[in-house]
Amino acid sequence: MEHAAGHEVSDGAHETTTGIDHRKMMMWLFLASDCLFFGTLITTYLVYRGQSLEGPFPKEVFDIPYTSVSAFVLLMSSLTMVLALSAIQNGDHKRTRIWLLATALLGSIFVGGQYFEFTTFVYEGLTLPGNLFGTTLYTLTGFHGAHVTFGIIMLFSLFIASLMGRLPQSSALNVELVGLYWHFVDIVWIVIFTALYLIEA
Amino acid sequence: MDNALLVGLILLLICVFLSVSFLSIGFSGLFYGRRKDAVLRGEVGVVEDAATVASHDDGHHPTSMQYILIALILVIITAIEVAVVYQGIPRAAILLSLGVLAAAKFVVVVGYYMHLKFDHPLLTQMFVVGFVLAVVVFMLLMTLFRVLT
Repeated sequence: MEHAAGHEVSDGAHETTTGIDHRKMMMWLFLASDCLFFGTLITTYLVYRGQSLEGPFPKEVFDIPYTSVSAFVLLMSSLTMVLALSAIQNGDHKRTRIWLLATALLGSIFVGGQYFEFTTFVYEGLTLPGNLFGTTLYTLTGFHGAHVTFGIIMLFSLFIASLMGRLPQSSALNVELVGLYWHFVDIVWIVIFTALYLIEA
Repeated sequence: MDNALLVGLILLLICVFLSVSFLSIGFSGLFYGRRKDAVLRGEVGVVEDAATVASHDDGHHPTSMQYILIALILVIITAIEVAVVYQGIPRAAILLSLGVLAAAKFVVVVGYYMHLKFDHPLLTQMFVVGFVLAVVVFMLLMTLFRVLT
């Protein structure tokens, strides 16, 4: 039992007392803390919802069909991400690269769409210091976009590492860790899409 | 009236999230406890123990086709969410539906795509602690700023 409790089982990297790789444990702890980060930002948005003294107001600027497509794109990127993990766990490096690249591209489309959306908002008069709606909206969705951007950088890094032959099957945990981060970004958007956008439709 | 509806949505979301969180802790703890007991009783060998109890993973991941099926379910839920808001049904019903549908998507992604359903229970418990704390902060701030009253 002692042997079992202190035995390492993750990718043969190192022994741990829990049997869980420290890197994976660290990622889950980070995601748990990120729950609080986005929880407070979403709460701040809802606390100040409807408190803006002057426009533009949410109903005037939100384009629900457009944002729905963005949500769909991010949802599909979660599928390609999990397929990339499945591929590397099966030792299929070609498919790993294809799915990693697809995930990064879908993420890029999402961020590009958000940039276009922000540009449209600013054109319609919604700025960061303009009113409470603008401040809370840009802060929340901006931080989410920053998370997605960081995820894209990690995905491209994995793609390049795979191209250079530095992402063997034994390193599947690296893909899994980036995948955990990526899926978390997706579930944050699931909440944002509902609590910010759909609620205003 | 609008605030009352918002309160309803918030309470529903909190109830659903908390229920799912505690259920997941309960089920994962139950599973882990049974495995551990079996090991202590000698019913499961050390080798199997190392591969299951102490493992980060029970090895029963969904197949690629199952992942695609899960994605299809997520897309359908999203489509229903968008369709619901354009229906002429009472706003309270819309908010309730959105809360339930978003919670369903959340649970599916965390459970299957993030593998929490198949992983070591400790990971679920760590994530749930962070998530529940976030919900508590949410409730406290909403109360403090009188959105809930």
